[in-house]
Formats: sequence, C-alpha cells, structure tokens
Amino acid sequence: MVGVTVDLVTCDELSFPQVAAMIRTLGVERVFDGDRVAVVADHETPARDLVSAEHMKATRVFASEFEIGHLLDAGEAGIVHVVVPERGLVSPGEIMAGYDSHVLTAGALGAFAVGIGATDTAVAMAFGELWLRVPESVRIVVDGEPRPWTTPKDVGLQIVARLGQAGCLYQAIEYDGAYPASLAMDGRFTLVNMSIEIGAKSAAIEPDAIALDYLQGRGARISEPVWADAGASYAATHVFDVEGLAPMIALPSAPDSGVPVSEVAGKHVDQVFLGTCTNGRLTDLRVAAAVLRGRRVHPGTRLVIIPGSPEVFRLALAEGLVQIFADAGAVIGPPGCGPCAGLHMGVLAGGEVGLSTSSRNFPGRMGSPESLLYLAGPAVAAATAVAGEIAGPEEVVGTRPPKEIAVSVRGRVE
Amino acid sequence: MILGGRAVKIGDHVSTDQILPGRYMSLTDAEELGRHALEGLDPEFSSRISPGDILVAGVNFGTGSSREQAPQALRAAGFPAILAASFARIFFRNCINIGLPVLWSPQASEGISDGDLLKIDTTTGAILDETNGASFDTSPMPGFVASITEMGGLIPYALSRSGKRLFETEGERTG
Repeated sequence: MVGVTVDLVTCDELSFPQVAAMIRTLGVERVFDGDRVAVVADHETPARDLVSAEHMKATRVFASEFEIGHLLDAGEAGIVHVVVPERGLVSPGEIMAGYDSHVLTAGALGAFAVGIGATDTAVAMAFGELWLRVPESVRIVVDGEPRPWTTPKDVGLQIVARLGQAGCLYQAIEYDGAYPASLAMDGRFTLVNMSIEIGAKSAAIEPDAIALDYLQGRGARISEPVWADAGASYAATHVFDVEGLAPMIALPSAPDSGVPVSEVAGKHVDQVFLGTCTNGRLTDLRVAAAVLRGRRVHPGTRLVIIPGSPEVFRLALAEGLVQIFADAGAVIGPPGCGPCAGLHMGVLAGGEVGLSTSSRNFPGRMGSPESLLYLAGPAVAAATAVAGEIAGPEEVVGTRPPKEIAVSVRGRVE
Repeated sequence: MILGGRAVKIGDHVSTDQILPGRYMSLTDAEELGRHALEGLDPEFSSRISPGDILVAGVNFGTGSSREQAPQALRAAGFPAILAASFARIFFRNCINIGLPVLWSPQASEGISDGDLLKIDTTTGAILDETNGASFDTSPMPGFVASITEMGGLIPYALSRSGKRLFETEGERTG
C-alpha cells in the first residue's frame, strides 16, 4: 500500500453532488489545486430532469466557491474520458484518478490513470492524496494484421473474450506489440478503455511520437514519460495474434462473450447506439460515415449517434459527417454519455434489442432489465443500422473500406 | 469486530448495474438506496434479506461502474460485511472507504451455503461457518487500510489526520 500525490482528479456531474458534500465535511476552503481538478458534465447533460438541473446548478456554485479550475458544462460538456486528453489536462507519466471506471482511458497517453470512488475523489480533490495498492503488471502483446474493416474495438472485444471479465483483476496492463503501436490515438483510447472490462486497475501504451504529437498544441504540462525497463518482469504475458481477425460482437449480457459477427448475423435490432468513451471519437464517426454514406437507416431500426465531445462534434460537422448521418436518418445527440448507463437520450424499453459501441452490456445496463444489448465497433454498428439486423460492414458495403478510413484508424499504414 | 449473521449467497460477476441500477444513482436517502439493493439481480431481493445478514458473493463481485452508491445500498440494506471469492477493484476500495468490512476468500465463498450461520472477525479475517463447522482464514487488511475501515471510512480517517500526510508510505511520489 502506498500514498501518492495525484496530478489530476476528475468527476462527472451526476456523481459530483455526493463528492461535494464530502469535500465540505472535510473542512477545506478550496480544492488542493484548482488547475488539477476537473468536473465534467457528461452523464445527464443538458439536464434531463429537475433533479439533474438542481444538481448542476449547485455544482456551478460549488465549483466557483472551491476554485475548481475546470468545470466543463453546456457547450464545453462532453465525455470526461474524451475531453480530458483533448484539453491536455493529463500528460505521459502523470498520475490521474477520477470517479468513473473508465478513467483508465488516459493510459493510452502513457499516464497512470485509475478509476476511484466518491470518497476517494472527495479526499483527492481536497488534499491531492490517494491510497493505492501497488498492482502487479501484465503485458498484452498484440501483433498481426486484422481484416480491413476490423477496428480497435473488435480487437478489444477479442481480448476481453479470451481473457474474461476477471482476466486481469487488479492488475496494471501494458499493451505492447506492432498493433497498438500502429494505431492513431483514437484507436489507442478505445483499446485501453476496454481494459476495465477484464478487471484491470490501469492500462497503458508506451508514449511515442504519436502520443506526443497528439498533445502538441493542447496546453499539456511538460512531464517526464515513465515506461517499463527493458527486461522488466511481469505476472503474466498474454499474446494475441489478430492476423485476419474478422469484426466481432459481444452477446447479451456480458462484455466477454465476443464472437465473430457472422455467428449472429440476421438477428433483428431495435436500436443502434454509436458513441461513448469507447467509440465516440472522430475516427469512429468516420468509420460509421463510410458505411452510412448514401444509405438509409432501416425503417425497423433506430440509430442514435452521440459524439464524445464538442471537439469531435465540430470536426465531424466540418468534415460533413453529421450531414451524412442526418441524411441517413440517424438521431444526433449533444456530446455526452447518452444512454450507455441507462440514463439519458435513448434508453431501451422492455423486450427491445440494442446494439451499442460502448464497452459493457451487463443486464439492464442501457435501460430495462428486460432489454438485451450487443456490443460492437462503429463499422458493425452502422452496417447493422442499415440492415435492420446484425450485419457486418463487408456485407453492406464491400470487403474494403475507403483508403482514408484505414489511414484514420492506423497512425501508420505500411 | 465480531459479526454473526445468516449467509445470503449470490453468484459470479454481479455488476454494480445489478447491485444498484443506474436509474437510482441520484438517490441520496440511504434507506431508499437500501430498498433497491441488488434489484437488478432479483427485483424481490430486499424482501429476502434481514438486517445483519452477511452477503456471500462469487468472483469479481461489484464489476463495472465505479458508483459508490452500490456499496452504500448494500450497507443500507443491512449487510454489516461482505464476503466474496474476489472483488472488482473500485468496488472493493469503495467498501473500505465507506467503512464496510470486506473479506476476500475463494474458499469461504465456495464452502458456505445460502442460509448458513456465520461468525466473522473483521479484524483478524477469521470466518466460521457454524452450520457446517468449516472455518476459513483471510488476510487482515494491511496498515492504514485497516485503520480506514476501523474508523468507519476514509472521511473520518482523513479528519483524524488533521493536516498530516494522509497515508504513511514507502515509495512516495510528489509533483
């Protein structure tokens, strides 16, 4: 067990009222360092009902009184795990902690990022301190060239399926191998984000030129990247060869139930949701647009698209992606978590079948306990929306995506 | 602390979405949270349990969302301690931070049947199944983590430090 000083503490707006009450109990007059504290509206923004409206109002007052440096609300609201890297709030080698299980996403930049609870968050915001059990380290080595439409999400679903929901419980993952190194940042965030679904404490990819380029111009603190020594020992090394891997889908109701899409092709889907901290970035929207361009959402199916952040939304507008989605008949929501946790903008009714690009589909996750939820990547999501039943992009569009899609997914195309 | 109670067994990989479905996350009243505990697993769950029962879960208990309302709901439902074959880590630390004793034992989770009478020493980690006579040892919490649980959670613990570093530690990192 160790105590550490944190470089950044984050919280979403839905959870913040309980954290704020505890900060008051702790008797401090302001947070430990306003520039290192972020409260980001994402779960129920804009306010979905009177309760969330009152909570957000109190949060604005609290943030001003306790000198919280980053309160991101309204036009600045977006999924905390997308927004934090975009705004350069965390740097390689730093320690970040936040009240949400997907906080580990920032590990894609080589930060040590961990999800914590409400009490942890209150104490860390008040004093900048956090207790940690030093985790075992494991390596996940991914090599090989998957099929052209296979995205980092599909690779992630394959890893989760093989290792299982508790496969890396309490462990710190280091991703290694040619595949993670070849990904642009969006795909790296997706891969690292899904590590929570195998129980990991944190996950990271070695910060290289792609990571440092991403942070350029985002105002990030200059930090000292930290990485494993050559010859470091690991509790385990898991090797994945994704050569020829076809697009994947996780079955209801566990993230580790992934199978090739072809095994369940043809099953009716009531609603497809594209977005979340797993797949709500520009690359994901580009992949979906490549499928939806010139096509229509099937009349028996709804498509909900929610960009992860205002930056993603603006870039998607500028590239014409939003036009493609609107022309296809999709519903487009404001940046945030959307229905992922069963809260806002498109939850599922009893008996409905959903397909989501999020990372988890536990029973009742997206609404009714009687709903069923599949998980897939943006290409399968868009293809399914067009077909009205589970379908792969190869069947809907053809075997190869346009070249610019491959370039967007992969930072380096050999 | 010595606790006695009836075992209430549940299975593996029970997620926080089942312990406290997302739609109840904005509840602040403890009693109300308790009424919805494990509703996502069994809508009638709260009517099956009595205060003082000890929850005995399988592997990866509390997986998924970090919502601290999940252990709060279990405590409000009347569980004085939780035993599991293994815990998801954020859920595990949330229990410690709200002062809810947790015992980690695959053997006990396997060896205890639903309805067995248990005696648990939360300080030493010893577990006795009085119904079948089996006993199990678990590791007590180390160092300041034991103090956090004993003091009733991280908030009372932090208040007791009055300006000192919160956690005595080797390998400290600053900046």
